[in-house]
Amino acid sequence: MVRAYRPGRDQGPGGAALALTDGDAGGSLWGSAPPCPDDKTLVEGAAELEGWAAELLKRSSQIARECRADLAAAGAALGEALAAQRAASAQAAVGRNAGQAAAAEAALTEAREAESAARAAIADCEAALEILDECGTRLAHAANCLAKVPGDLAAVYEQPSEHLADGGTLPHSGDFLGGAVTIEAA
Amino acid sequence: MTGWTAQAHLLADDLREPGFACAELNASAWCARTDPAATRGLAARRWP
Repeated sequence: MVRAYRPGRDQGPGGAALALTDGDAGGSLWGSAPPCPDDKTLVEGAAELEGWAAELLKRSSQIARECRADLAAAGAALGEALAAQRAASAQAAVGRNAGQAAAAEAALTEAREAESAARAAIADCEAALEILDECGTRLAHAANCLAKVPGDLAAVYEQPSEHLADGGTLPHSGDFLGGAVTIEAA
Repeated sequence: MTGWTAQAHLLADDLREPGFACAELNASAWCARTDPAATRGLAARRWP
């Protein structure tokens, strides 16, 4: 009954494809492909892809977790660098000789470099987390679309089943299910 | 682009392969022909 399975652009494997490729797979959703031979192949294929998406989601979450830890560390390092700058500035203000002034200047330079490194790390983490967040959303949507394939496919059977339960008959050929002729007309 | 950003971009790139595999599965479902046996089986279950 695969032929009668016609998921829209935002559901099933097509919905997952658009989410994972940011829409780039739109042109190949209905391209030529070896016909899916049976329901089992479709369901198994969707389950395999769902597993793939779940693995990537796990990886994304792991990277995001480590990145957040680095972001927190960089935030702490920035705080320390700014405190060190204040201390060095205060030391420079009270310096009584050239040696003390030079030491204060060196400490200030070091603290500024630490600040710069911390700000760069923060920017890196924030940019990465933005990308990871979007990846997580796309992966979750894709996994959800794929998880629904068995249910969506089962729904394909509902209408003819109800038709039979109501006393209707079905032709032996199932071609009408995927064609333009409705079940009622058949 | 530094460490974490590079890793995030790599992950984003890795989404594309399963994405196109999903598109292929979708196209495969749309190209499928109905196996008449499926309907016969349904009729047999519901209308013995």
